[in-house]
Amino acid sequence: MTEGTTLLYDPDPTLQRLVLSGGGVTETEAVAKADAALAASRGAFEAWAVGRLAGIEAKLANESDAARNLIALAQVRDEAMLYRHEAAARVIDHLAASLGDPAADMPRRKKLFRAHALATAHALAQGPRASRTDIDQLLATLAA
Amino acid sequence: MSERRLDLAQTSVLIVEPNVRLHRVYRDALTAFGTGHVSTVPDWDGALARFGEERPHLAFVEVLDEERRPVGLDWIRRVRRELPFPSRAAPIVASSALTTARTVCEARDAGANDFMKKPFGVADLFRQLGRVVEFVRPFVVDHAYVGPCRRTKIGENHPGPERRYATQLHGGSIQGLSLA
Repeated sequence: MTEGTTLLYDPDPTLQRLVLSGGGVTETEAVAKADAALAASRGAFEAWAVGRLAGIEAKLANESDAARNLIALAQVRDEAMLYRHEAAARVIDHLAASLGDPAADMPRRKKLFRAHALATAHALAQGPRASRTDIDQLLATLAA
Repeated sequence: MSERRLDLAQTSVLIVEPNVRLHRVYRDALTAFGTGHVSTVPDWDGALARFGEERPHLAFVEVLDEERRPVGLDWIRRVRRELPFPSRAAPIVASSALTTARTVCEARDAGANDFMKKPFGVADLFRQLGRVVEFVRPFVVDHAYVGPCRRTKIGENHPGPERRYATQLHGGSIQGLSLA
């Protein structure tokens, strides 16, 4: 192709034709089906997530550990969201923010980590319908 | 208003995700949506070969590796430039937890159709599928860019002689094309 020339192809309708045939599922149906499909592995995830946070906490010794563990936390959070543990995912986001806070010394960060890990475990135990308000109140108490 | 229905039974989806723990969740969720075939690959090199072999209708790709290098962006560029039609034109949704304006723009300029911010839930995943299916775009092949047309607005009242710097040649239809 010569410089300055642009080839423009027509939009490919294949996927649209396959998917928008009128059959299939609505979002409500799809989410309900996914929920049912994920129910079998949700308990295993919850146990793993609590253990993973405890493992990260046990190894948390210095600032480089804190930075490295942000990715591990993000992975737990991403999975929590797919299991519809929105409240737990939100606490883990807060946890990551406090872990990476340069203004806090390591003892403070470890204390905050403990508080967030407990709040996450509580949110996971409550299931996908855990109340955000309850979790926020618990977190505020633990972090004080 | 009735909800839009998606029939995914005849579609195949490729997931390129280094976090292997997410593979099962993706697979279970997409299968529950009725997706015909779901493949998961943990590394981008393996994914390129798989993309060429399986010719998925759609791919979700994480753009950053654990060192936060944009390996997934290079992967998208390679799909767009190295694979033959129609694979090179398949919709690709870039995904990452790092969603700065720069990351999103880089994904778009690499040839991604859309960007999905992590974390996302199963409803977001379903909605994203709907967005990609509904928003089909022309495909551009240029020396500087290969991918879906990045224009999202049609300017009816553009005053200048040419909106694009280059001469546009009609490339025809992607359907039926087997070679680049």
